[in-house]
Amino acid sequence: MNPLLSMYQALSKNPQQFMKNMANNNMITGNPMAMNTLKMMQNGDAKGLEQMARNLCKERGVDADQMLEQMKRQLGIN
Amino acid sequence: MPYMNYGNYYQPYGAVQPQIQNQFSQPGIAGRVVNDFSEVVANDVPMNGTYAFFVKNDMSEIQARAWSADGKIVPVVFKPYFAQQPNNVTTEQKQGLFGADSDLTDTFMKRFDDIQARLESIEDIFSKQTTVSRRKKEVDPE
Repeated sequence: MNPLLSMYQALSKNPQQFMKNMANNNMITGNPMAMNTLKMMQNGDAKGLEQMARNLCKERGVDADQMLEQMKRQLGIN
Repeated sequence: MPYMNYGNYYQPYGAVQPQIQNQFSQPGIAGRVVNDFSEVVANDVPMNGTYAFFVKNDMSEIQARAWSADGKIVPVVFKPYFAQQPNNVTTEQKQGLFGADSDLTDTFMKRFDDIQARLESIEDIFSKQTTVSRRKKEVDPE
């Protein structure tokens, strides 16, 4: 199964449990970017998350808007 | 001599115990030698927050790159420092005071000369005033 899809499903079923699991994961706590992502998700900072995603896409030489469209298609979001 | 029963386990003399590998030990340092830092791509930098080290093949610079919390790659630049050896000082290099660069020394000396000149002019003014007031006293003590 697509890891992104499974993550989305876990998040949509029980967001609080998902956050808790992430916060207890050593791989997340040792990673500044992952911790920042989790913090922004907990605070509901959508703009911050979007900016981070755009920064990531820029570093990889990818068009952020195209990537968003692809993700929407994969997740079945219109 | 009583027979010492070690059970079914048999270990030949001199056998080395298998070592349990520490699963948290780092296998190595991420990075590589590059001709130019423009060769470095995002995939070269691990996303687990650790630094990757990229060394220029002429040893003129080393960059440590890691993903920052906001999703950008931040480079930390290291450049070599060669401590000056007495034999390595060229004839073209001029040494100023206390081993400082001669241009820097010249700049400071010019400032000192300027300050000295101003002090001397102030001294002249004071000495003239003092001379005038003495003459006045000599002429008219009261």
